Amino acid sequence: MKKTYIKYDVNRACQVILQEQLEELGIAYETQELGEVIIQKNVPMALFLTLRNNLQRYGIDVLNDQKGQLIQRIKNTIIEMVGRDKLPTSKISCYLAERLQMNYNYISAVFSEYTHSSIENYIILQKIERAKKLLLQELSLTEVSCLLSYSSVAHLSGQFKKVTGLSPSVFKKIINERKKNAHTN
Amino acid sequence: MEKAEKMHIALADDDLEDRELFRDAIEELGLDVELSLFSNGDELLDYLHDAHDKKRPHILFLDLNMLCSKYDDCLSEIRRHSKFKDLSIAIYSTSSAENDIHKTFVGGANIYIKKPNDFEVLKQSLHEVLKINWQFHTSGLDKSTFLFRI
Repeated sequence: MKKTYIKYDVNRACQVILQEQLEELGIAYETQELGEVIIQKNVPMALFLTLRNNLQRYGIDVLNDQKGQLIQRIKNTIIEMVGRDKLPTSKISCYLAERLQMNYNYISAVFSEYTHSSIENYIILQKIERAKKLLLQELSLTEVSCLLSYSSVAHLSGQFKKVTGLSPSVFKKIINERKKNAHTN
Repeated sequence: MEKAEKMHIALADDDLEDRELFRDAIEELGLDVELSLFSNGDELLDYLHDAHDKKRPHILFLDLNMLCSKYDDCLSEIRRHSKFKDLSIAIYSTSSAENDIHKTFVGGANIYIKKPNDFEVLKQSLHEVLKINWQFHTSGLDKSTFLFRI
């Protein structure tokens, strides 16, 4: 056995891998400075994800604001969903996957990676935010739990308490007292 | 991207040991945060008034009995200024009396933390608080009805 030494240029290696992968997928590109590539046309999300996966095998991560944009789309879809008068009857994971035309596992992984929270927690947070608004509009707990598709008032109260540390009635009392003080001051 | 924005935390507590415990807890959480510590309310208020909007902390932890020489109490002094309306205020206290908690929330606090005796519990509580506050911040949720008790 003979030990052989090799000398390599990491930058050059990455550059070549990147070019090969882009060409293999038929994506028109222009390389810029180190670590910068301009993709010339709009690349479909699926193709972009393939590129990203292929590159990850080499330890190359695509940093792209597309993720930031995706997070925003996920949030918007959730907010829109929670803001409706009736929540979708299908499972929320199926609903999001369908609306965003993407695999739910992928959506969920990106979301957790970038927001330090899970989609499930985000949905709960948004539902409780809506519940707060409805409670302050003098809707009863029964009405609120029905509008937000909770199975029972107890379920809503429990989730409210988990997110805020307060019961819905104590919450309402505090906010109303604040309003009263703001008027008298 | 959400990751790019660094979380900025401020703590005002006149007890040196409590300040150190707080700093250790934040450090051990391993989050990428900027931490500013103040030993009295006057220092804190000067800092808040001087800082530009973008430089202000995302969350302020305040000892319940933090006094300002110039004002009655720090919480109401901060809440008097509308430019601080987006600043989350977490009151940090040894009291778990319902009356104190209620008064604190009505006075404009967003978060009420019962100071735990156990360091691990403190870390856990701070983590919970920072997580939910970050959600409120990055999602632009309504701070005027943001209440959290832990």
